Amino acid sequence: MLIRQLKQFPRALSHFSTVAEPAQVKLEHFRTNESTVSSQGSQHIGRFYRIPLEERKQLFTHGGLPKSFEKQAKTFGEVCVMVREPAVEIIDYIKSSDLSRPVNRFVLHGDDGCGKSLTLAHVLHYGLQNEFVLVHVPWVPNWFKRPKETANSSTHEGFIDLPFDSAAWLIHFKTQNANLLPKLNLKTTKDYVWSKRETTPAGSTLLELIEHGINRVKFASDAITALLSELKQHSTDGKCKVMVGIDGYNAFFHDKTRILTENKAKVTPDKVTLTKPFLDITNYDWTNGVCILAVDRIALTEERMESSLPRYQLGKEGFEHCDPFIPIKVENYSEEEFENCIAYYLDRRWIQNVTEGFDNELKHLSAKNPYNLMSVCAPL
Amino acid sequence: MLGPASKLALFRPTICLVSHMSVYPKNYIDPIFKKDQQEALKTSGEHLKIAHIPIKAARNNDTVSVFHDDVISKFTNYIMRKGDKLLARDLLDKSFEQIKRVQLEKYNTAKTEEEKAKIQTNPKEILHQAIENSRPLLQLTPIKRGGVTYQVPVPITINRSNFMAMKWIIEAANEKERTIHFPQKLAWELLDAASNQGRVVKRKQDLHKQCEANRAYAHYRWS
Amino acid sequence: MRVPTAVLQRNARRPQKEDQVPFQELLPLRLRNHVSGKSNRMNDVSCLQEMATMFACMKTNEFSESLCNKEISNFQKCYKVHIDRAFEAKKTDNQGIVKPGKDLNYKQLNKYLRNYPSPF
Repeated sequence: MLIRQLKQFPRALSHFSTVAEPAQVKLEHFRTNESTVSSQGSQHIGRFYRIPLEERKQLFTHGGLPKSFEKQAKTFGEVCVMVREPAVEIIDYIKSSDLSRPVNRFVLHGDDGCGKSLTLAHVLHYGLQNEFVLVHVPWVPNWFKRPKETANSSTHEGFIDLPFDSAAWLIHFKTQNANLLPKLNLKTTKDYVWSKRETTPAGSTLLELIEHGINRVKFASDAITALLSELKQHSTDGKCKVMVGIDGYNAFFHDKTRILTENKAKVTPDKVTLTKPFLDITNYDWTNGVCILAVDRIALTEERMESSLPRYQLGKEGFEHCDPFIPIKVENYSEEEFENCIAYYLDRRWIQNVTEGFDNELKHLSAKNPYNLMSVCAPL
Repeated sequence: MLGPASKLALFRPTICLVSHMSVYPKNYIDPIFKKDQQEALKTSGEHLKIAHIPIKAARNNDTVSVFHDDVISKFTNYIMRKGDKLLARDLLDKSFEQIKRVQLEKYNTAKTEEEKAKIQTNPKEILHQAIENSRPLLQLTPIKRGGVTYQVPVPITINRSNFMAMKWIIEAANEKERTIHFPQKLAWELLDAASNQGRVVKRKQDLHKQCEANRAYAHYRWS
Repeated sequence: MRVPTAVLQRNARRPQKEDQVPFQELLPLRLRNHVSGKSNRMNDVSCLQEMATMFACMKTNEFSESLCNKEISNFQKCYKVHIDRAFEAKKTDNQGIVKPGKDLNYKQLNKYLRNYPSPF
């Protein structure tokens, strides 16, 4: 059935298209040209839109898209994201919310492979296009499960620093906000004394603060603390608006990490210096911002994977920290989304062995789960 | 002198000395599990003939899935070690994925439509082509004549040549560095063989050359 | 010239004396009532001509098969016909119907011999 649709579609379109719009002629029914996220609406749900190369580079060079999706994008030769209900819903809420009020927290939850990370990526794209300062953590468990290096914090007694990961995050922050930071020209409000000889005086730009963190890896964690508190201050003052997007947020509230101290004891997340600033910025005590937090089953360890609901994932402490929040559930594909996805895969030649009833079989094999569908189609 | 045993032998019925290995008696027929074949039987009326003949149980990889392919299923069985079919299937699936990724990237970078049409991106077709290209026509059998063992070229059946082709491909894929994974290497070997080059095709040609060199012994053959 | 050793060594190859080494009948001194099927294994050298032409073609074309399609298909067809014929022949042989004639196969012979066993 789908094949027939595909075959007929270009012909059907050519009846209505005019000569003046050659780009429109080739557009299949499962695609949309609307790459401005703010003008995407419910009529675009289920369609794929292409993220332009420039914006992709700026947003996701240092992570942000799931690994398997990156691979897919490389094979397909383009980065296409499906416009889906949760993302449209969040963007709608952001557009209609009064930013002068305390920040809204959105908690994305859903089963494995439903598209939480891609929804977050979609919203971040909106943030980029609408001049939000992006505070984006691609995957929190990376810090707690496989840190590059650990060191005892020099400023906080009994805390653990992740110098390299912190510096990497600062670079990520810098590339994501490369266009915005010089334009906003935000200044530090107070002096930061790193050591006897190194200080960042009040009135220097945030970029200098970031550069310092990158160059002096030892102080990267403290630089993040400073940067986030400055950002909070500035946005409350109305100088900028901030979008916080954290994937695997529940890892902050897990009862353990894989980081070991010198006595080979496991460290809890709250003993890592990076935890505090990110918990601070997801608090409700500031304005002119928005937080999108994705909680994920895989962010925790095996014994905490029973449910994907926020209360279970965040635990009591985390739930109370986020309360009140707006829960957004990311679901499996709907019927229409599934068909569009199959059509897209056919177009990209990801599915090639096509016989009568293959889409029906794929539907039952994958249970319409986006990730499952992708992997089930892999050998076809 | 005629012993009692030899007297009995006179009335002994002829017994087939080759034992029948199957658990099923010989009158059982193979199951027909594909939907289209069943339909074909129904339309031709053949199904009435076999309606009362006992049928063997279907094997666990006989599936009505639209993606089922006999060659792929056979190839999976040859990859399998120690009965771990799950792993074997996984490996083959992964190498199909690799093939697809390699070929699709080529396809997407190709500029003209003609170039694109030339690139085969279907992994199933590539597997079929690879096996077709690496099938040998003959094999060498050691035959002892007058105390000397000769390597004699002997023609082989299609089934045997299919088996040898698949075996060679798998053997070639197993010869690799430890750091390279089997699916990756298998994908390369399949792509090579499908374009009629690489180690497996070379092995086939070497065998043919040897057969050609030993053609003088061909009349020693028997079967 | 080669001299037989028996000439040089007088007692070496003398026959045994009956009274010292009595005769033992290890195997019955009569013919068996059946023949073995071994010698019946058909010496089926076939398709030599086709194989030779195929080799000739392959050698001239540096073993690329695409240029010798005709020869290869001829060879394979010949072998197929041969195999089929052998299969059919074996089937009729296995039925073991005794026909008058010279070329009997071992099954037929055995059937025949069973009717006329050794007289003692």
